[in-house]
Amino acid sequence: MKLSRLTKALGVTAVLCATLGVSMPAMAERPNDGLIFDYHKALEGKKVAFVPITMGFDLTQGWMAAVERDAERLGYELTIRDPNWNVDAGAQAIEQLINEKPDVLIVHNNDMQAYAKLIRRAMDAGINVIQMNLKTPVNSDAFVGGDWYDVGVKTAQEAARMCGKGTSGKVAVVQGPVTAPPNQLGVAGVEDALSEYPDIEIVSNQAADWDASKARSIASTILKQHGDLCAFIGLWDNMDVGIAAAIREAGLTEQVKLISTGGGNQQFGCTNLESGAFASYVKVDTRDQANQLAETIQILLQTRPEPGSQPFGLYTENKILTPDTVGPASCWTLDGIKAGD
Amino acid sequence: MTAHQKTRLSLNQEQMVLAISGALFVIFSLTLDSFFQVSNLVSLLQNVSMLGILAIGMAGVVIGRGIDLTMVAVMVFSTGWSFVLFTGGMQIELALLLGLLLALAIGTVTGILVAYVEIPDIFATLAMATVITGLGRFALVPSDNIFISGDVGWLASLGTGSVAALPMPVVLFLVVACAAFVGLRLTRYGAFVYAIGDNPMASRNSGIPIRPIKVLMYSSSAFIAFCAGLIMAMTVSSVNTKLASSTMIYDIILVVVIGGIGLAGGKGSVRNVLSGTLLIGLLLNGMTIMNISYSAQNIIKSLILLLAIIVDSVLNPRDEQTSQQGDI
Repeated sequence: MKLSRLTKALGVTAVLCATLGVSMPAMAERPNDGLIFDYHKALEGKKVAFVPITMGFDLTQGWMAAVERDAERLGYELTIRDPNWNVDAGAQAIEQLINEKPDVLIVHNNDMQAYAKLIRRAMDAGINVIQMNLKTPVNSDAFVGGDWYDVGVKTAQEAARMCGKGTSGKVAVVQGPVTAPPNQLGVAGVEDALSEYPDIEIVSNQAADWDASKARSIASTILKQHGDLCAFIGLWDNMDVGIAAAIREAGLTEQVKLISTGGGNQQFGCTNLESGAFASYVKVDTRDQANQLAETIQILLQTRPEPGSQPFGLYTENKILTPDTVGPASCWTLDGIKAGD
Repeated sequence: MTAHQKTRLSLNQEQMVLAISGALFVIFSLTLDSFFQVSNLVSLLQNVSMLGILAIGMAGVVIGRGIDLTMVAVMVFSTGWSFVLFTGGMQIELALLLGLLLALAIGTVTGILVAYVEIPDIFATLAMATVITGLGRFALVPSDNIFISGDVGWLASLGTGSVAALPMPVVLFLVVACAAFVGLRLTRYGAFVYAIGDNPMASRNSGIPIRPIKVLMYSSSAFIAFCAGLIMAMTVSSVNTKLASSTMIYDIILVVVIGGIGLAGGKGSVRNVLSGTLLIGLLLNGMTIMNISYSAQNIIKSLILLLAIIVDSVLNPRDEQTSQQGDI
């Protein structure tokens, strides 16, 4: 009896020692480099909220994959309120979040104006605000996203490069919804850049609403009308696969170049470069944006600036990929970002 | 108004549409450089064949005095789900079968809501469209755009193949049109649909099983929506589920109404859909060639829809004896 109690006691002690033996000395011995403890303290238990345009597409899914990984690793809490393309629901979600007072609010703007006032109100309420992908005229603590005008310029320059001497110089633009700002900025970039090349002519400029099927119809009609067309400029890979289908159907893959742009999703981006469907691709890398967003959150949670007092921007580098330069790591997959590739 | 007069009047609208189409055709041929060439006309047909197939499905419901606002949602989410399963490693045939079953199940539920729960068609289908979109996004299809990258075998020919210089989508449009013609004109089911559309109470009193027929009506439109979705997916090797919240459903109604199928039901045939599709095809093709801006195109399209509805309500006035609340 006594012995068995002793055995038990010994056992318990052994287990305790084993547990503590692993963790205690490590904790005790962890050297303080003067920042690491503050770092963890600044992030742990903090609240970060995200209002996307929708969680239904590769951009937002990619960003959140990286932020969710960080949230788990560093112990902050991430809330996502998905308004699914509805601007009013998005505004309501932001309003609700202003009341809930998260430490950092990430807003994915639908257009330049819709959320501008709300962003200012959130900052007045003491919340640090990050704007994603599209900036309102209001400067918040940080902006992470693409430089859409430059995307347009780059696609146009690629078209000009491919449509020089010996070609018809005819270029057709297939845009997204005419009112979507990334589209407006991109088209402005395309038009401005092409005005510097007198030999290049925009023979058609039509909107396909980011819809592949509509883009296919428009492209096939344009191809019938301009049999000598040199290139299509599309403004989003998800839509541009429709243009590629039209070119393929017309049997003009050799002659008509398709210049596309997108976030570098393996399926829509690199697969089509590898198959030759895209002749050139301006990549606004979602993977880079995702990591930059995750880092911005870390920075803001540690520095906690007076909201809006020191705005900074992280504009995504626009990289040009062609079938010759595309490699196995040029694009990303959602699983890859989740795994931290 | 006698039956004879009605036929004459709706024929008039169809003839009118054909006349307008003819006029547009001549004007475009004379004024637009590359309009009148076989390849452009073929692509014109191909570009509207999807819309045409959906419009045939819609016509089958409208003739029976219903309206199916779920068609686009059913189309993108049933096919979208199939390809999500396929990309996840399922066999393509099995994935398609599941997608088809989903479409039929949705059609049946809609039909039951309309026929047995007696919710007016427009509200039942409006609500169902929202339910399908919500459920689809939540549980079935995680992304707005699904890119089909794997090898789908024979299926690919649905979108890109051709028969005697006619692209496959056009051929399939004609096949669906023929099937719908046979179904509506030569079968008992078709006769019942016309009877229900003309006067639901009288059809019930004369012993037509109007509730099961209504369920069948909505299942067939869901079936056609699935087929259209499949062809669309194969043409552009992707599925765009965002179409569910677009104005595409109104384009389908536009084709149906413009062709002369009265929204009050009981009138019209597959031929009306064909002429309506042709007119829209001509317009879209001409406007694209003329490089008319997007907003201007929308204004022109919506004015035509308005005009068609006005003409429809003049030629096919509501029948006070048989109309009921919730009718459109």
